[in-house]
Amino acid sequence: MADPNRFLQPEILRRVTRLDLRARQVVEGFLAGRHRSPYFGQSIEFRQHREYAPGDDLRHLDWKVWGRQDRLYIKQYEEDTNLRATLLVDVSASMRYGRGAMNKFEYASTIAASLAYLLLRQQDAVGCMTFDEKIRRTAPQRTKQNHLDAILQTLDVSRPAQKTDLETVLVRAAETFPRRGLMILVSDLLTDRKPLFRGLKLLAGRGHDTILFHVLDDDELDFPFEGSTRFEGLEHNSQLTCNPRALREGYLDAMGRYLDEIREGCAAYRIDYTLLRTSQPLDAALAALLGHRGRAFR
Amino acid sequence: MTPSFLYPTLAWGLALAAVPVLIHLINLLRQRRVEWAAMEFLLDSQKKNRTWVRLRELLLLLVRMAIIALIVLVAAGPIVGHHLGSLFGSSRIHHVVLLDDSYSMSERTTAGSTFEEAKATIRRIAKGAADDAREQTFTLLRFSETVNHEKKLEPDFFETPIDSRFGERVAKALESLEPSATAVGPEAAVAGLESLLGESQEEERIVYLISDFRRHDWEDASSLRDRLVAMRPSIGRLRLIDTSDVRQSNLTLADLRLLPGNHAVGIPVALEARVINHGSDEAQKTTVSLQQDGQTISTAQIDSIAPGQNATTRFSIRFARPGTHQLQAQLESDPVECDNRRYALVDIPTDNPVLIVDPDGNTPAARTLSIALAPGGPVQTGIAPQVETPRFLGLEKLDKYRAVFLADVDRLESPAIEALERYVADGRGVAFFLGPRTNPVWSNEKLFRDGAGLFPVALGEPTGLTVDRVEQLPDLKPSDHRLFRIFAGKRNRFLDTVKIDRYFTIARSESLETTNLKNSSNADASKTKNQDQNENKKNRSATEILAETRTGAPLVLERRFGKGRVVVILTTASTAWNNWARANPSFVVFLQELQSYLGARPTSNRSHLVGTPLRFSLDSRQYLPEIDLVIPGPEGTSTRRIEARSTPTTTPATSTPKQWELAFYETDRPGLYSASLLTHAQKEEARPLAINVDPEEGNLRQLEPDELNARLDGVPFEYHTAGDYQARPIESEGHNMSLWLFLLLLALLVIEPALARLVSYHPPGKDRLAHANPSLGKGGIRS
Repeated sequence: MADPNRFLQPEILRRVTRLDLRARQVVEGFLAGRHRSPYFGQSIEFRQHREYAPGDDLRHLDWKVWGRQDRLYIKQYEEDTNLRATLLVDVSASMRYGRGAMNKFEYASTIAASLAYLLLRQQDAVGCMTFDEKIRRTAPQRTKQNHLDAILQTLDVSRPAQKTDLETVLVRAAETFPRRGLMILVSDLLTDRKPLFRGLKLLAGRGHDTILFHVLDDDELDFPFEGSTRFEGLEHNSQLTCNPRALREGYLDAMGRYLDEIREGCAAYRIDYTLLRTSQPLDAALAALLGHRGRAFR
Repeated sequence: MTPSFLYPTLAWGLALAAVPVLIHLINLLRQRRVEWAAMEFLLDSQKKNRTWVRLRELLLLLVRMAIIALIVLVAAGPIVGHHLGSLFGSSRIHHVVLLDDSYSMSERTTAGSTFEEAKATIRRIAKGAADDAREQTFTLLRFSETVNHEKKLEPDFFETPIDSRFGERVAKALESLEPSATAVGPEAAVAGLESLLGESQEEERIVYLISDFRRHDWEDASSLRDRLVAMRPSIGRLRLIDTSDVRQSNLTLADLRLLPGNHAVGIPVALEARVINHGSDEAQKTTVSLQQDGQTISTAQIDSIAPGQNATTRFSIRFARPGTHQLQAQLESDPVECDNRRYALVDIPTDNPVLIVDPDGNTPAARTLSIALAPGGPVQTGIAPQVETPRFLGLEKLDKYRAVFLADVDRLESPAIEALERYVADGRGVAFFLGPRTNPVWSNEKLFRDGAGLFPVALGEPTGLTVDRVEQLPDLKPSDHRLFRIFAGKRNRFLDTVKIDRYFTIARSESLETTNLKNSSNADASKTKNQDQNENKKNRSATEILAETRTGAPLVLERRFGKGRVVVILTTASTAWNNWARANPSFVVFLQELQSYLGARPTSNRSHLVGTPLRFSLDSRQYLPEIDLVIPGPEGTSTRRIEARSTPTTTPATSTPKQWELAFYETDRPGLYSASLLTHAQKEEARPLAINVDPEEGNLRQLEPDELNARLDGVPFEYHTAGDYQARPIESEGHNMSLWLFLLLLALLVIEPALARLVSYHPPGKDRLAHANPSLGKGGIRS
């Protein structure tokens, strides 16, 4: 029997051009590979009874009360809806880089679509924002299954071209989605760390649960270049002609320090941080989400 | 300082050192363009490493350029001069030229001569050195200077400093140089050079051996090779420059000598000239002319001489005056002139006095001998017989007689025996004819003396030879000894008619040798040559049988006594015991031959090879310690006086009178020399001498380069032909840096990979593995 996880490989997914199909394939593949049910119970805390009104879902009727009092009441819980999740997807110019099966933007979009599909499938409200130096597109939080199309439309950016300004974006996101919820940030974080951390701090301060998917290309992590190369900045005008091998060690040192800084910052604001290589299977993001949910509802 | 190379053409390859720069520039043009997101970290790394990276890259570039340059330089053989070369060893260049001026170098060629080619090569060497500003010296030693190791070497140049006008000085000095007539080979020249130079650490020597490399000089080069190996520390570089590149034939007049016989005024004497064909083709119709006092007196032609073979021709000359005659034989002109002439001295007496000793002074035997030796009338034999009684032997000096014949002598007084023994021991000849009056007892006791005396055998009793009526074989059976060789012709039957009636038997025959003496002439020659060495041995030599009777009994015997010969004929000279003297022409011929044989004196040592010093030992009581030598020169003769260098010497063992020892070394020209000795009474005595070239030097056959390699195995040398050397710039002399540069190249080849790794041009092994398997994280940061 063929391995269902093969559909999680970027090389395979790359052949699926439609993002919704790609997301479905990721999620189904992911679920098929798990032997336990991934669905979690709606063990939301009971709050009060409310008299039945037409249009209420009959599944929520409290039949015991009807038997004792012959009146129709429905149960109301602490949260009357499922999880409210917001996907914040970086579409800045730096996300355009990638020499593998997918560039960072494609990889991030696929993750976002897959997460949206998974969340909508379990009745959670999912919203989506794409951003660079400002918010580019927004999809409101909805629970309907067909809301996936709206999210996918939000992710449909032809060519990322602008710089990243995460602080501004995160402030706007917090304003746009004021209710506490789950913020899923998918970005390469190639921006100044201080504004980034201020934005993350704001989200944490507003009570948002934040998951940070840090997407980087293999090249950015390994720097495997050889031969005389002219590097031109995607978000800056800077350029550099050099022998890459001569600078590799210094580059990896700087990259290591940067990642450590990110990790430390995320830990400080209780942000779930996951570093993703664009060559990695995409189930890592889904597993990270489930792991986060598991921890959140324990 | 002008850079110089052993192989200048290869030095153009230095341009290849620019290849790394070109590759770098091409890489800049072909550089990859990458749109990069994480510029922040790249710029950070570049900012921190920029200086070191550029420095290391520059260093790597220079190392790679240096490696290419060094490869080219090692191949091109760079030569540095004094100032830089002194850091690596020598401080001065010494050009040492060994010039072969043996007479084979006079070989005529289309361009002049082999020697002229050699001089041109030396001029090029000198000019090249003069054009170089480095500190250099020059030595020129000709082979002929080393012909005699006793003579002090006088090189034409010796450690002469080289300046800018040195080329002209050398050219001027070379103008007067001509090939010598010597046959000095390379070994003597190298030995001379060794004694001249000694060892030196102060200079780098370049030894040029300029020669025609004739095979005969290199036949046995083992001692030369050993000497060169031993001299290796003192000879920096050895260059063998071959000046002869043509293969020519050459004829050499190897010998001119008087053949044995009765030499006297008016009597035809035979001279033999020997010619060697040193060529590879047969020589036809070779004309040899004979000159006396500059006038051609006879010519002879040799029809054919096979390649590498000898041929002889004879001249029959009649001398009108007695005395020493100077002769010169000459060949027609060929590539080497020096060996086309041969000089000889011939002593011709008025006549040859022969003493016939007869018991009565008038016996038939004496008369027979006298008439046979000098028939008189129109027949000229050049022999003057004198018949005397035995007493004459003890009273008169016998030195003037060419030979002594004793005819049936019955008794001799002791002074006569002693005089006769001295006469023979001194190199003369005596013939005994026996007869009825011969007393064997007395002869055995006084003359034979158990072998210590003059007589060769102990006599027995006379006996008769039985008549052979059946087979009728000749009574006389001669050997092929020189005495009987003239009868060897098949038609000559005179000896067969000789009848022997009686003869003496031999009492003790154990010391007899019945040799046929087939190679008697060669044996004679070798005996003459080694006479001095074998003198003592010959005193006791065995008696040889020269002729036998029909029955095998000895009839004619010979024994050497001292330097002379004793021949015994065991029958009578008269017709008493045989019929030989009775109207048989063979008897006259035999006696003429016998007289010639007995009278042949040991060859006086008056012919010398060129280069051999002339030595004179003069009796101090008779002569003054000086000699005037008349020597031939290019423009006539000249006179040189030599004097004894020290007080007269004496030899204790021989108690001979004190001798003046004189020597003359400048015998480098062939020809006729004359030494004029002066007695205390102011009387001059002339001693003519003939100096001839070594005929072997005329062999122009050359050594092939591969044969030269084999003969000089273990000796590092460069071989050039003179024409090839012409293309070589002299500026290349100096210290060859190839070895040092090669070591530097090896060091850089070790350094380069390490430096390249340091500059990260070579990915480490771990990285290469990571590239092959991306799951390993490529050596970068793990997620």
